[in-house]
Amino acid sequence: MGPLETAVMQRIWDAAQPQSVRQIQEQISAERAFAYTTVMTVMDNLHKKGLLERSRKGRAYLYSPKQSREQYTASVLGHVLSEGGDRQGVLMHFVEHLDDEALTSLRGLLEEHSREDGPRS
Amino acid sequence: MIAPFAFLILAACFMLAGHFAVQPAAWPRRAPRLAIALWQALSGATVVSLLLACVSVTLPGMSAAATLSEALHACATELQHQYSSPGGALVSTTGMSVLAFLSFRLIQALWINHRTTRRSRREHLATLRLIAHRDESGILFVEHHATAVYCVSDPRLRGAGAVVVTTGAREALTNKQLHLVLRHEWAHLRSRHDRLVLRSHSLAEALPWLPFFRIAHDQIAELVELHADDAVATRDRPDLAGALYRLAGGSPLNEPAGSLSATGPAALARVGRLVRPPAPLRRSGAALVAAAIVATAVAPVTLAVLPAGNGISHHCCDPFGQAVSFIGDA
Repeated sequence: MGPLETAVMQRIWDAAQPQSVRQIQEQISAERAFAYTTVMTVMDNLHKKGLLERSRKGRAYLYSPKQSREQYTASVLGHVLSEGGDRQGVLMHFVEHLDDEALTSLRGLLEEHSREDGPRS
Repeated sequence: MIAPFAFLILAACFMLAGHFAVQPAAWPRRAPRLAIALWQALSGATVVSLLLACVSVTLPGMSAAATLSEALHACATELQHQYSSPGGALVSTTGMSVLAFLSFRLIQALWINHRTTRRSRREHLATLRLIAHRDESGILFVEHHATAVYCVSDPRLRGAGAVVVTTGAREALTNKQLHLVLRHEWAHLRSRHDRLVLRSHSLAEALPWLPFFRIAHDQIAELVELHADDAVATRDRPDLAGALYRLAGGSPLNEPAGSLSATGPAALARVGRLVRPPAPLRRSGAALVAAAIVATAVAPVTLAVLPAGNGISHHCCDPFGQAVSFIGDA
C-alpha cells in the first residue's frame, strides 16, 4: 500500500457517492499533481486487490469501497487478535486476551498487593 | 572416532543444562537480559556442536586448527583416505548426508522465516497507514473497541517501528498507564526483541525432534516480556500490572474477546513480578552467569581446536596433510 493508494482509499471512504477516476484525481491533485493515468492505474490495482468495487457508467467506471472504513478496520484487527498466538514476533502484543480463570487470578494478585500497600500509603 | 561422540556429548550437555538447570531456576526472573543471552549461547553452541559432530564423522582425522587453505587441501586427501575403505566410505557418506540435511533445514527455516516475517511486517505497516491516525508522539491509533496494544518493528529501520493502540485500549487505561505500556513497547523495539524471538522460533522449527529448542523459544519469548517490563521504573510497576489486567480483558469496557490464549500462567508470573519486583541478581551471581555464557560459547570451538584423543593420523604423503596431522596430534 503506497502513499498514493492510501490517499485514494481515504478519498473514496470520505465520499458519499461512488467516485470516478477523474473526481479522485482532481481531489488529490489539489495537494499534489498526479497524472490521470497514474491515478487510474492505482485505482485499477485497488480493484484487483479487492478493496474497491466498480460499476460502469457511460464510458468510465465509478468506484466505491468494498468495505466501509469501519468494516475494513474490524477485519484487520480481527486478524491481528486472532493471531494472538503468533509467537514469531511479526507483532509483539503487550498482553493477549485471557480467559476468566486467569483474569480472576490476576485480580486476586492485584488486590492482595493493594491491601498490602494500603496501610503504608 | 572419539571426536564425533565428544561433540554429541557436548550438545547433549548444553540441552540438558537448559532443560534441567536454567528452565526451572528462579534467577532468570531477576536478570532477564542475562538469561536471554544464556539461552542464545546454549542454542547456538548446541547447533554448532551438532554440525561439528557431523564434520568430524565425515573427516575423522581433521583438526580445525588447520588454516582454511590447509583444511581444504586436507579435506581432499582425508576424503580420499576415507573412501579407500568401504566402512570409512559409509561413515563419511552418512556424516556428510546428515550435515547437509541439518544445514539445509537450518538455513531454510532461518531464511524463509526472515523473509516472510519481513514481508508480513511491511504489509501490516502499509495497512496501518490506511486505517490508523498518528498522533504527535508517533503512536498509531486505530478505531476499534477491542483492547489491544502491540508493536511492529519496521524492517527498513533499525530498532524502530510502530506502536499501535486501539481506541478501546486507550479508553481502558489511565494516561499514566498508557505511558507505561508505551515504554514497554518502545523497549521491545529498541532492544530488537522481535529478532531474538524470530530466531529462536526458526531453530525450533528447523529441529523439531529436539524439544530443547522449543523450550528455548518459549523461555526467550517470556523473558523478552520481562526485559521490556524492566524498562519501567520499579515504583511504577504496580501501575503497569493494572494496565496489563485491563488490557488482558479485565476492563469493564471490554467485550468478550474473540480468541483466548493459553498464556495465562505467563501473564500471572509477569504480574506477580510487577507488583513485587524481585531484587536484581547480585554482582557475583551475574558474573557467574556471564562466565557460563562465555564458557558455553567457546566450548565447541575449543573442542574442535584441541582434538583430545583424536589421534588417528592419516596416511597422506603431501606435506600439507602431514602438517595438519602433526597439529592434530600435538
